Amino acid sequence: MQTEIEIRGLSHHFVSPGGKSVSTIEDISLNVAPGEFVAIVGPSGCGKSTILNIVSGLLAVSEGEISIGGKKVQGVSKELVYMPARDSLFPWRTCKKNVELPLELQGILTPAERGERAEMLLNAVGLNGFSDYFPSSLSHGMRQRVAVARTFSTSPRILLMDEPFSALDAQTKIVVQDLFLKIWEEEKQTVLLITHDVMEAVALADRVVVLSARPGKIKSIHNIDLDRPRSVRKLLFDEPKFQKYLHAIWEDLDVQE
Amino acid sequence: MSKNNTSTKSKKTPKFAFSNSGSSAISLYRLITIVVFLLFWEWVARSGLVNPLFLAPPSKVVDSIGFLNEQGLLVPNILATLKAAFAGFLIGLLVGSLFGFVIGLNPLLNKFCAPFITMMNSTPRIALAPLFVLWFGIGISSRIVLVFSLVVFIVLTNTIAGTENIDKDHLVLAKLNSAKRRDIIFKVALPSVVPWIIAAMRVSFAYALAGAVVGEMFLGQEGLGYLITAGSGVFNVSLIFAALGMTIAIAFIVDRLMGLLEKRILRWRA
Repeated sequence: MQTEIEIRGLSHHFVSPGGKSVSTIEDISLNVAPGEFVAIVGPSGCGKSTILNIVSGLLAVSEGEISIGGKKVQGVSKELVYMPARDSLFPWRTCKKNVELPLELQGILTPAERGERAEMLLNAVGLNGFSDYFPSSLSHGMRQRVAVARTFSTSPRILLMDEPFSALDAQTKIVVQDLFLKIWEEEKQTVLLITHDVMEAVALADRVVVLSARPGKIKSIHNIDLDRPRSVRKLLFDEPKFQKYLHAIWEDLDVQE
Repeated sequence: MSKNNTSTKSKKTPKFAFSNSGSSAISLYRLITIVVFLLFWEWVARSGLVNPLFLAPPSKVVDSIGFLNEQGLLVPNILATLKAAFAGFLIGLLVGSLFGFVIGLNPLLNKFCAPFITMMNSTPRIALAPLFVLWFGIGISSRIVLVFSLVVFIVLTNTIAGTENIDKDHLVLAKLNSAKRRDIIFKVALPSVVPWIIAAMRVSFAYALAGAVVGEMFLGQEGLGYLITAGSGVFNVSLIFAALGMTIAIAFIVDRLMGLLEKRILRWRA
């Protein structure tokens, strides 16, 4: 099997203010195939975000190895896009200009083509007519949709997502997740998603990796065998298999009452 | 000074303040307040409760303004004050924001400069007026320097505070997109700092005007400050109030204009 993201024997620790070395993750090994959607769930503080920060090149590897497309990760790579929980839209840019930002920074396409692509993506997330609005006049859900459009703007090979929908209310979340799925199922990027929301992990991913409490180790990996294209809304109500996966993963998470 | 002027905080206040329909009512109440105040002042000044040597009624102040105008003393003196205030203000704004931006974006330089900026900022610049005359003569240049010295530190400290408050998420996003340094400077840092510079601008113009007037009192042969000194020299209180009234009017008009400019430039704020 081909590998897009290869994580081998990854451990990380930081020095606490008291001078002690605190281990956040321990011996994580994981292969993600091209076009595969992998979600990592785990209790809070188990080092989920650390993994993503290391894969993205923002944080240096302290132990272990990471390669993307067969090449060792050294610093930030243009092949991947990182989508954080907060939309981090630039308030002084219109929606359209926000979607164009990654293209602009990376020098992709001509200005006119960037504009077209931004319009197209804003339409895809259901924001036609909002191109020239500033983020301050949008709701949280709409802002996050702009962030989804921005995430896809450079047609990256790999998406790294850190709790991307966690700031949204329950209903808006499902709408935005479905919009995201629709675009992703056409483009099929390799995705590494970090979330504490088991439902989100099962609904979106092909595989769900469960981490233990700190220091985070891989506890189990679940293959999610649900048909695509999926709809989060439908899964929630009409899919018995979906519930089964939820149960199994909840068991593994071992959440204390 | 205007540290609370971050985008999120100031964005929310208007919603809880008065609604649009109330703003015309507010204007009316303001007008009534001013009229009542002036009438009261007029009454106190004329009633004999206060020595007329110390307080002139508004009607006499208006007469004084008319008199100054007839003598051809009004417009040239206003222009003289405006010239010194604006020259010092603009140079201070330019130098303060430029240096603030450069210092703020270089953490080491920022750390190095911080105590010096605090020291210079806490020096009472008005008290330096006599020194400025010594150094720059009694012409307009010493007044411009005085205004500059007041404005530049307000703008400098605000601009530095602005660079320190750039949203970390924005920087991370830029970095993850392999942004070049110049893109980070012009597409992330500069737009983040602009609201801080504008806030500093509005605060510092009042200081600029005060600096120009005080400068003229100490060392001028012209300007509104000169009129104040002249008025107090001959116990002409209405002349003093006339000059003060003109100063307030200028400050008010300029602040309104800068308010419009702010709305235009920061139209992306809710």
